[in-house]
Amino acid sequence: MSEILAGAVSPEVESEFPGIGVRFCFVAGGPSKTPAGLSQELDLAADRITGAQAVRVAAEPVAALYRALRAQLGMDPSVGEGTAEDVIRRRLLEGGFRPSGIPADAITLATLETGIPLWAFGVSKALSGPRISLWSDPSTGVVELRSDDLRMATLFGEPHPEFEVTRKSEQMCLVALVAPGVVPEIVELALERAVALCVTS
Amino acid sequence: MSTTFAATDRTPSPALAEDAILHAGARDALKAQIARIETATVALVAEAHPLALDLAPVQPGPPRLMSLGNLESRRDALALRLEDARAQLTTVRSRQDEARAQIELMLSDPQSYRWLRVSRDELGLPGCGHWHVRPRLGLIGMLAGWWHVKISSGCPLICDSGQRRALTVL
Repeated sequence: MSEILAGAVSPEVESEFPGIGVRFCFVAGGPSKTPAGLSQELDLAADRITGAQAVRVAAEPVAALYRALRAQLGMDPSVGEGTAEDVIRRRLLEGGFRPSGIPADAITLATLETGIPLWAFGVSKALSGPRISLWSDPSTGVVELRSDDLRMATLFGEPHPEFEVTRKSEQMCLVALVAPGVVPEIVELALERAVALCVTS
Repeated sequence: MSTTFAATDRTPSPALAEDAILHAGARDALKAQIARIETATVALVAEAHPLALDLAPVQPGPPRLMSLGNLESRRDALALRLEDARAQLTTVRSRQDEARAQIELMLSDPQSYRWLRVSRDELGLPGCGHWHVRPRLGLIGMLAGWWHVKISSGCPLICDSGQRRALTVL
């Protein structure tokens, strides 16, 4: 398992949201099938989710901090790819967690357990240094995840096509956002859990 | 561990940069207000459960560093939404209180509220039972003025186990 690294945060974003951060790590290889053990864990997790929990999840401390951040960033706080609310909403709409393969299922379970939104990107092997950053577009102010000069995704959005996890991906980069007020160790734990689930598959 | 940004990366839009410097305190206050309002809204929604509050949609947009004006309008929109949610909850709660008071009146003087029916739904309770003012012994009670409140326990098939039982019987 690769080391968990801290990404850079542009000065504009840092000054606007003190305490914000990015953590990421790399997992060798591309996507794979969901192992039976993880499928079972997801089934058990799905069975524990009730309608009442779906309502309460947004009020839980960690989820609330990410929600507040989305509101402060001008987003609809209820919308956000990979958030705990998004995972639970998916569970309610689909009636369970259908196996979607690794890394999707690994990050679903890790997010469900910790409340931390995680994203997976497909990257080339050339990119193996600490180059992921949180950056704001100077002209529009849009906050993005970047790899060097390339846009990986808009924050809380879907990956840019170039960074989608595909069979051609040489390695995967798992990224987590540290919202202001969230203890970075929890974010790192979420990443470690997701990586462990990816690696053991 | 972390990378540093090149000098070219440090050039935010002039409007945002000026805004950030001149109104740093105001921006921080607005962001704190936005966070507080959002937290209060979520808490209200959780408190209202199982009643589903109809929250007005918030203008969606990409995640961005907002100007002071945008932060203000965002704060106002969220505050209005919270106010609207509170009003909805208050209206529903007052209707439920009225229904509770109505049941008290029905129980104390059934004769004055003949045939009146209050459902569990009107009280915000789960299930499909109701309180119904009916005559004792049917027609005889109706003619004799023997009225009472009958409490229905609701549909037995509403719960999961009930459904299973019904299926087993079938």
